[in-house]
Amino acid sequence: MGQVIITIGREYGSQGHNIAVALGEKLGLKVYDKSVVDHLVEEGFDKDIISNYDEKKRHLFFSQKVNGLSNSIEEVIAEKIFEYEKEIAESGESFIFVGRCSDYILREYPHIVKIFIRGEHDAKKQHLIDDLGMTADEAEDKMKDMDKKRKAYHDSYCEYKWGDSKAYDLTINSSKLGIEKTVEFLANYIKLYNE
Amino acid sequence: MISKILAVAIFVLMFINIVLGKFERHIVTLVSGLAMLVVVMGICLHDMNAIIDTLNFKAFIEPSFWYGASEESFGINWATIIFIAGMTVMVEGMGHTGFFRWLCLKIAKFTKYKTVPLLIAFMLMSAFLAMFIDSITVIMFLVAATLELARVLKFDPVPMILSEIFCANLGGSATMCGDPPNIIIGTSLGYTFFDFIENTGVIALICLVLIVPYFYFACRKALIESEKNRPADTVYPNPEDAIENKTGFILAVITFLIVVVLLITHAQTEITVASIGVIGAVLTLISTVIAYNFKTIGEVMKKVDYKTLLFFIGLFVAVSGLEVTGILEIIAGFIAKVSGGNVVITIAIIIWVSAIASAFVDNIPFAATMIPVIVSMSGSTGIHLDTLAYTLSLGTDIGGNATPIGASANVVGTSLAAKDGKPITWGKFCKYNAPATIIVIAISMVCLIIKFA
Repeated sequence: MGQVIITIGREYGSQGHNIAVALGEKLGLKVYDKSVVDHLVEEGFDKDIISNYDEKKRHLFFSQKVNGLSNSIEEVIAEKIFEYEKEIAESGESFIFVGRCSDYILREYPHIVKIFIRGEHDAKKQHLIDDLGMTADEAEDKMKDMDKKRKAYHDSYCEYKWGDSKAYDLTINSSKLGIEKTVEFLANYIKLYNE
Repeated sequence: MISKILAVAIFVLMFINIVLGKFERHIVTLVSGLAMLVVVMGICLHDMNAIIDTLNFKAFIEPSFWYGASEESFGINWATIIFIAGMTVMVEGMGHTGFFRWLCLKIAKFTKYKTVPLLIAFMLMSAFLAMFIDSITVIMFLVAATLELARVLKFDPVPMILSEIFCANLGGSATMCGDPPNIIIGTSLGYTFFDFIENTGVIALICLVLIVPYFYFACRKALIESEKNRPADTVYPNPEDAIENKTGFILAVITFLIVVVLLITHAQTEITVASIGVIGAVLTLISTVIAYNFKTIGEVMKKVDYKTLLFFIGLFVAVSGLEVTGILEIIAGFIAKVSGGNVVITIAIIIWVSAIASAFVDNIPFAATMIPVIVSMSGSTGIHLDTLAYTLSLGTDIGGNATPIGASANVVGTSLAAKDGKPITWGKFCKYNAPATIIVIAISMVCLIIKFA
């Protein structure tokens, strides 16, 4: 099997991250998610600062660009992460990358499978209440806020829209099959693709 | 009336787009300038002469453009464009030889790598270099050297970078060629290098003397602490290793000195800044061929920031659109009415409005727009144009220091720091630089009042 790069975009509460982790275990692939922060920490960045600015769109009013240099901390961190994504891809390793515009940044690599995971509104809300201990209102607000941020972040760096089926190889509703069967379905898809 | 409304609409739209930065700023000003020419001057005013005057191509064939006493200009200020282009070529050539890195490391060695003297030395060097070279270049090299030294000497580079940015903007306010607003003010109103030195230069020097202790007390504790953590086996960088090409280096220094002498003496020699820009560029290209080869000229020219030059061209056209429709006279009339023609109130209004505006929006379009306003105000109130021009210069140059987006040097400095893993938040930037800006603007205002009122 040659190099396979799987990118997973996800709606908040759709359990896209859990699916990525389970898929990684099933296929024996390393999953890159929030852990990319550790790489930036090794480069000298402060962990708290990265967490505050990761996966966020740059403020148009509060930052400027001069001679191609941006002083938006969000943008600098995004660019560092994009460089890291390419670095991993260049190494020849097969891996799964969660979010952070990886579907777009790694689009030139031949064996990329771009997946977007969405979910039913009520199912996502229930997951946040049951598994993350949020109240119904908190879950509602958090879903709205996180999806808005992810969309803004993605769309400010990518040519196509976040969650638009045309931009992905596979868009799947995790609420239909549940985590386990969704993972199985995706694993089969990857295996068939590799054949 | 319709032409006034359209001119204001185009201009406001241009300003909003520059602030938001969604499109590259040269595209924004060029499209706005084109709209001013076609819609406002062509379709609304049917004024072909206004279009010809705005494009101002005739400037090139006038002998006074190249040699002679400076005159006021209208439309595209080609002297500014040519001068900036020439200086950019010269600075790129200098950078190519390793001059700036060598200078930074040499000064660090001179201070025996002690962080507090290094802070003061880099502040002074930043201010001095920015008097002759654009502050973006000064900050680009100085911040890179500061980050390199911070890694070796184990200190937090952020306060030092903030002090360097502040001093670059302050030094830039001292001379005609230091900061883009000054180049535009100087070439538009016919001031010389020495006119600026005698007015803004003296005030900038007073401010520098007071602001060095400010940053010293703000940064001292952290810097002294860091020296204790420095390993005994630290290997210090060798300045000589920074020189990429010895012949090129010597020729670049000679070219720089020639240009500095020409700038200082241009009132006596009557060689205009446009000519000085061309001389600087030609000497640099000749030096490049001598030190390297013809191919290297391409490398140097490739680094020239053409987008900034296009940005200026579009901007001058857009401002001319406002000028021909009489909008700027209305603004001038309003300011004159508020100040009642009182010099002290007028200085206070112009310096604080310019400073606050420059802290949040690009100071170049602001200064370019305000020049016709102060000319008109001078005519209607009888306040000497020098008073208004130098007040505008100090307000726009120094006001940009208050926020990370106030000046190009701030953007470049904070960007380089962030890329190196030392992001500077708005809070941190403003904590150091906003009080310093308020202090310096207040001092400048008092100096201007003492001198002109």
